[in-house]
Amino acid sequence: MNSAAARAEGVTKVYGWGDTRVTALDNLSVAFTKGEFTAVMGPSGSGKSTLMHCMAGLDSVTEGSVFIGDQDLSTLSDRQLTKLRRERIGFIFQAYNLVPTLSASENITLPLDLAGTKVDQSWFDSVVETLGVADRLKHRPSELSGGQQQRVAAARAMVSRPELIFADEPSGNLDSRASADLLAFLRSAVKEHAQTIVMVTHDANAAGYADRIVFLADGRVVDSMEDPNPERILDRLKSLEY
Amino acid sequence: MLRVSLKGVWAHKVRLVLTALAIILGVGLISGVYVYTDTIGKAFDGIFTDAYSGIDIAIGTESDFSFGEGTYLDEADFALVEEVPGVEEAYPYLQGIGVTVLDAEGEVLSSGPGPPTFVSSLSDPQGSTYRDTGGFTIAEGAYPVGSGQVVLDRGLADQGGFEVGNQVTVISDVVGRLELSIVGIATFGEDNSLGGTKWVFFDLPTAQSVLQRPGMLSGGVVQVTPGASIDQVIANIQAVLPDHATVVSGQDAAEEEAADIQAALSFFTIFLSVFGWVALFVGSFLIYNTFRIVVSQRTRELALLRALGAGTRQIRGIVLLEAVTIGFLGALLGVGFGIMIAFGLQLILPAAGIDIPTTTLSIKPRTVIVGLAAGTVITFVSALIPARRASKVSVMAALREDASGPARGGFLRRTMAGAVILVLGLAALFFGLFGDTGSGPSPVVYVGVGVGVIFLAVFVLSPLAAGPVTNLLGSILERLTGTSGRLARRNAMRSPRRTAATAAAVTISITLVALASTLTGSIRGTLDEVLAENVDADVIVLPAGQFGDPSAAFAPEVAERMEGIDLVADLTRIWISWGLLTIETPTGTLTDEILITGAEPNLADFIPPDGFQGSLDPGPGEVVIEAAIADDYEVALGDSLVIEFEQSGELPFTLVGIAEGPAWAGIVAVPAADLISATGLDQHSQVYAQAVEGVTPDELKAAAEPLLADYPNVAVQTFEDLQSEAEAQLNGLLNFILALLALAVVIGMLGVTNTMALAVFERTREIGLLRAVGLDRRTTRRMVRAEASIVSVFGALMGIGLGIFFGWALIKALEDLGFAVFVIPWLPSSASVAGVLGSLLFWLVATGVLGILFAVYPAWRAARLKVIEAIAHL
Repeated sequence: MNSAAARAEGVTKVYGWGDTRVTALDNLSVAFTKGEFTAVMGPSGSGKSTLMHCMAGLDSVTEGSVFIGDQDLSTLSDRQLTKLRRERIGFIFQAYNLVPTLSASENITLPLDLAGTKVDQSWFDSVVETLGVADRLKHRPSELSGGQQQRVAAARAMVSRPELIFADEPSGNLDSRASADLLAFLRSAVKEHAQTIVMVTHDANAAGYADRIVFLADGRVVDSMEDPNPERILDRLKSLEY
Repeated sequence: MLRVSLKGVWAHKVRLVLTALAIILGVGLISGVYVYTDTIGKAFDGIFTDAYSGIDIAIGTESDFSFGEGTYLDEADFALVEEVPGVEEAYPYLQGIGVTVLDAEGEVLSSGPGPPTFVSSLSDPQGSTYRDTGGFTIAEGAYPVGSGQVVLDRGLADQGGFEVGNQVTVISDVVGRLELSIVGIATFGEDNSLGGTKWVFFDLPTAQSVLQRPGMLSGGVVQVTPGASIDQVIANIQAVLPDHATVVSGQDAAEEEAADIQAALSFFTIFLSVFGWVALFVGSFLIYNTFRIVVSQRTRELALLRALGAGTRQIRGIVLLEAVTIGFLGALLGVGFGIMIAFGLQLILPAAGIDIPTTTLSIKPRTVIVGLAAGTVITFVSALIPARRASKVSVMAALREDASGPARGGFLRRTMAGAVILVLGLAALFFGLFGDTGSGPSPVVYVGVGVGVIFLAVFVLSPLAAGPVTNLLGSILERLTGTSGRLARRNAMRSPRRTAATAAAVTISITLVALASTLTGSIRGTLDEVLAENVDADVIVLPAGQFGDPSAAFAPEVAERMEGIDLVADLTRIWISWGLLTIETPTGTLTDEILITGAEPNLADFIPPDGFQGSLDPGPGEVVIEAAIADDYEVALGDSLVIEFEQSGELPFTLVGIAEGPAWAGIVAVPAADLISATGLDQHSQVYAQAVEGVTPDELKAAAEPLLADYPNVAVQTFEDLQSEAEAQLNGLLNFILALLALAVVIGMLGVTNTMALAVFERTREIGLLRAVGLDRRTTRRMVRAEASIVSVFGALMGIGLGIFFGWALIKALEDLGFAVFVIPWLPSSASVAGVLGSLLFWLVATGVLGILFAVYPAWRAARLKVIEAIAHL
């Protein structure tokens, strides 16, 4: 287990009360390996977004423990969680990733600025080069295409050298061309910089870029797949009543 | 459609509360002032009805003077009244002012911020069935008889702890100290006092001697024989009395006196309610801004309504109906709040020693109508432009993802429009201040319109300044606080129009604060300069509380005692009385009621002019005036002037001297002997004294005070005393005005709260994102508060700029009245609370801090947002 960047142990997450009670995660355990690109898949309501929120310290678990490295998140206060998020975790959301008042460059360095950490310029250059946004740094988000915005978000996620990056349907709002570009960039980030990425998606094509896929259904891990390709994924999804 | 509006109102309760709060406070102040002054008016109505009940006819006098002491009737003339057919009995009286009552310890029985102490005759009616003068009756003891006896009203007696049989010291301005025995206590009907005024009663001859009005009467009351026609008797009496006598029925007299009080009260009402209107004006910016933001937030909802078939007029109607609902509810609560304010004042003011007659609260329909109409109409008008914008939402907006971007107004168009409005406003302002308004509306109207239009221009132009200024303020903050400061700066800059509209509400209130500070600062500066550089005297003897009636006076014995001090090298005595200065000019006759100074030949040694023409020592029938007055009346040396005195009528004078300099501001000087004979009174208003070589003002003061110890109605003051007294007066005035402006400031700041709350709501997803990538709660709060602070300080900067400008313009316009110095009070004038409140720098800092305080709630809301929900927020 010492090679896990993050893991969940017996995590249960329950929303609501009485009749409206929903069990989103049901005694779920999973580990994400360092330096790997993992995709989390499952039908709607399978708990994949909840898992990501709990793993990233955005939401608390009802039972069980979540670890980032060796740090048990349940012991942390809101401030410590905030600190952990900005220093050890990166995020890429489906949309609305960037602060509209800040330039691309300022958006990328935002977590470092918030932490009061100095920007490592060579690493910054290398990241923006990898993600192909080096020539858009002075632009405001409204002046960028959707694909560029997501790549800037990916650069922001990487610039603080987080232990892992959570990506929630990062290509969900993009056309197939931009989507392929972004995923290829994420793929190369994993390869070149040994970055750990956990991506929630229901798109088999997107998941095809991952090293490994974890399948969720009804709040439980039901299967996993190494070195996937889209056809195998689709087959597997069908068997999960997708 | 009504349902859509009402649901819109209900769905946003915070917005509802904040918007309504602005209305509640403004309407509350206005209706509170109405209810309170109406109640005082009603109380006085009751008092005068009581006073004249049972009086058939009241005889009085009239005068051309607004400020004088009133005119008199001769006793011989009044004696004729008793012979008039139909007159059963006639009872004369004399009333006046000019005494000070001391308590048992010899201290002045302070009259507080109230009317002076009145002297009246109250002679024994000696078996007459007639009731006593003006409603006062002897409740205890006997009528005063002879020069050693006095009666006090119950309120005054209680205040001084006096009972029948005690001795009391009364100081008359003209005859000096009187040791009297109290033989009775009078009440006004059932009341201890007449609306808080203080009364001292003598028999008629004693009253005439105390007031130095021998053989004179103020008037009288008459009972007609049964069956006689009052109107006929009035005509009969009028026929035997001189023209300046007024003869009216008791009922008319009660109504007239009540109307006089109402007129005085209405000034008070207008003055106070102005602050309520200012608060509503500030509130209108808050309402405008709220609806503007709400409309842009609800673009998609409104577009959906359009898509479902709502017409533009219906959309406009929905927004306006929402506004009217909020305005009406706010106004309703505001009227209720106003009644509570009036009720509270009735409780608080008497407890604070301000004795104002009261009765049950008088809530007139006018109060309710004005309050409701003001709140509703202002909200309606403020929402007009946002409603128009709402109706222009295109159906397509419902389908677009990002529909909240406001249409960018043309930079050039805005600049041009703003510049044109600004020029118009400045023109109106300067015309009102410096121009000759001739027979048109009064200068005040031009100034008021000018100020309003200039505000409008600033409102139009300020979005242009909002970007650069908030950027600058934000950069300073960014230096201090880092990332939260940068985010705040960018947020403040993202919608210059919204920032400017929010700041505008702050601007208006801070403009008035800065204006008040600048004016008091300049008055202080003027006084300092006049006193320090232009008056050559070491001490000045003045009636205690010299900022009251400038013609207040004291007995000549005071000056005699001062002359007896061997530390005094020289002194000059000054007599002051009101007079009507009349000058025939080629274009017509100019008449002004001004103070006339009776001067001794050495006056100019004590107030040396900067320069003069002719002589400064007027001989009999000669007058010296200040240059500015000479300019106003367009007179030159050798011209003849007519001065009318209240007691002696018109007297001709020849202009023999024109003096310049601040110390002479407003002075019209005639020889002392001329003034004494014109007024019939030999009493001084000021005595200036110079000490012999080597004696300091404080030493002279220390020497003079024991000698004048038994004249507690005069004060010996050095310049430092005068300065600190002036300082205290100015500070009191400033504090009073600031207290009334506080409401407008609060409403302006509520606008900041409102805008920030709406901004936080709008930026929910953005805040969620920032929280996800590592913005902690504390920094989130700091970011929101910093933005509020930037916006507030931007508003304060504009307000201070405008306040200084308006202050400068006013001082320049009033230069003739002696406002020689213009001071911008950046720093506190003293370490006192008022000194600090008068400093502009304080207000700049204070609005920044207030911005932070008033953003605590939105900041808390922002920090409390749940990250996941915030990110999912649409």
